[in-house]
Amino acid sequence: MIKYFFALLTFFISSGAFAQGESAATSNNFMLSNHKVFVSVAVLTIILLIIFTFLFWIERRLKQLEAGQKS
Amino acid sequence: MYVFSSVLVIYFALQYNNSIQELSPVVWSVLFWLIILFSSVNAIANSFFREPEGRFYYYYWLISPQALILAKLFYNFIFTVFLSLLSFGIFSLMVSNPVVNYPVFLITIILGGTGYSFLFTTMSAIASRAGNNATLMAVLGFPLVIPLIIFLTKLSAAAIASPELTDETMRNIMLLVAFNIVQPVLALILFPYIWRD
Amino acid sequence: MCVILLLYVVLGSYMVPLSPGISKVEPLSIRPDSIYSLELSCYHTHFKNPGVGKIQFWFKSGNDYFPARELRILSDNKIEAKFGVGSLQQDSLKSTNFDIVGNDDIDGTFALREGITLIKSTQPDSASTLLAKTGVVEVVHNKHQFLAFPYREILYESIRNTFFHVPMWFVMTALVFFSLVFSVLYLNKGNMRYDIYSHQSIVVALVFGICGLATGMVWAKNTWGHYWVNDPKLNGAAVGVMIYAAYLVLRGSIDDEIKRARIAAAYNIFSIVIFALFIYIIPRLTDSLHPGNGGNPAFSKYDLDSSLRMFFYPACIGWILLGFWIFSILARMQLIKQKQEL
Repeated sequence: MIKYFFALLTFFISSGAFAQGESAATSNNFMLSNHKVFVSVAVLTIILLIIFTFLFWIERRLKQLEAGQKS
Repeated sequence: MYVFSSVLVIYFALQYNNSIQELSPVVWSVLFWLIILFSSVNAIANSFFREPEGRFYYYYWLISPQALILAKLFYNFIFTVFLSLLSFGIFSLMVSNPVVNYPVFLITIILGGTGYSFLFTTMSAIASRAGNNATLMAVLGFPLVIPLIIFLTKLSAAAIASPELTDETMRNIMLLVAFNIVQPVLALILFPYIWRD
Repeated sequence: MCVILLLYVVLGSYMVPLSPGISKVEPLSIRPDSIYSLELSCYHTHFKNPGVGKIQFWFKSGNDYFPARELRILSDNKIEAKFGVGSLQQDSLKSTNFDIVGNDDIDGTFALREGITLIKSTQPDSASTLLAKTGVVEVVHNKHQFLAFPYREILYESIRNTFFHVPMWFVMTALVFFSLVFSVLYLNKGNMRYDIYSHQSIVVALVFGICGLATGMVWAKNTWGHYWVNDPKLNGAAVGVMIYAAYLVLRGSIDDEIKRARIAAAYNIFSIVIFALFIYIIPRLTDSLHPGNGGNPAFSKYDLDSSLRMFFYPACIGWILLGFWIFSILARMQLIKQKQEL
């Protein structure tokens, strides 16, 4: 499970870089109203939120486990 | 034996291309150091692996770990330097010998040989405690030896190219010296931990 | 926590536009004693906007500014300017590469460094049309009307990648250093906890290292044209990733726990020292395409603009926090697992 998470993280980060590359190539002479950029921003934010939800969920489970172990 | 056969392989490979005369300095250096790499890996692997199990206990009771590792390092150092010089001799017989700047090149050989020997001695010490696996030693050692090879090839290419001692060459030599000093020190410190058991 | 920081960084890095600049000029070189009509393609400029005020363009060489004779606006981004240089002035110039500098009320000052070359003429013509040389420039350095990233040639928009690629390596360095500390602590004290910590921090460091390599490769493909270049820093980074992969292999091959911990710690210390020696010292000594090397310190004033800095520092902190968070989660999981086995 952790390995999937790491794969997701890697994918997210490399797609971040990739999206910038795309925007550089396409918008060399265009203004920022190039809509493709917004799409990539949205996608990246969603992936980032998924990663954070996953981390929060694990944190909560861990806290339960640790409390269970202590008692 | 190993050195001789690998040099023969290289010679035949190059003959096929019919381009021995135009071997660029970098290619020559790379091939040379790769041969030394493989022969020294084999030789040093044997130095730790051939010992039967009981002998380790014998050493443990008899001498301190530092003495053991120093002895192994020293022996491997002498052996590897000898091996490098031998390879150089055979290499220059079979493939052309374009070395122009002999002092730098000899220094490079000695420093490179010591670098290889120290590194692989430590790695084989580690690997011998982890199950006597020769591939493991190679896996552990290769990433660390890559920067060393980069520098050795640069230095040897410089030695082939020009007879004078440039600033960059001096810098590379200092780096190699630093590398060779750092390693035995680290090995000395770390070996007692590896050794226990 | 780091969530807020990272969200801020990621969103901001995309929303902030690039500051204006001159991207292309045609033709690329001129000879003295003629008037040339140069077509300048600019980026993010607003020439047709009514608030643009007075548009000015100059050639700049050293401290000498040569204003344009005539300007004709073609579109928001393109402008045609007539320039000429007298051959009698050519010897008093500092260099034959001129910067092209532009200025207007909305966009502030923007420039193309070394945009045009002067091919010196061998027969100076004394009756040439000399260009009026303005010694002191009435350049009004307008503030940008909006927050903008600096405009750098070659990089263009992908400068935003600085917030992704560079912090990855910072995280990896921090985690590797942590792992070194824990390994030393383990060898000194023998507490299994330190071994778990050093193992997990190497795992997370490896993941971030791979991310750093991936971002670097994508960036390289976009700016330099190749995924991988023969560059000492890149090679050092690849070697580092390989070293830690070898560390994990080593850990996998020993079964006895205490022995594994000890040997892995020893290998860790040995390799980190050598690795640090090679990855930090070498790139500073040699030339490389990588920014921040080849004699320059890593983050000189030249590389980081103040607007970039506003995003860069939070980005570093955010990513490092994320890395440590993941590390602590993994470490705690291992600790719990270990306790349950007892």
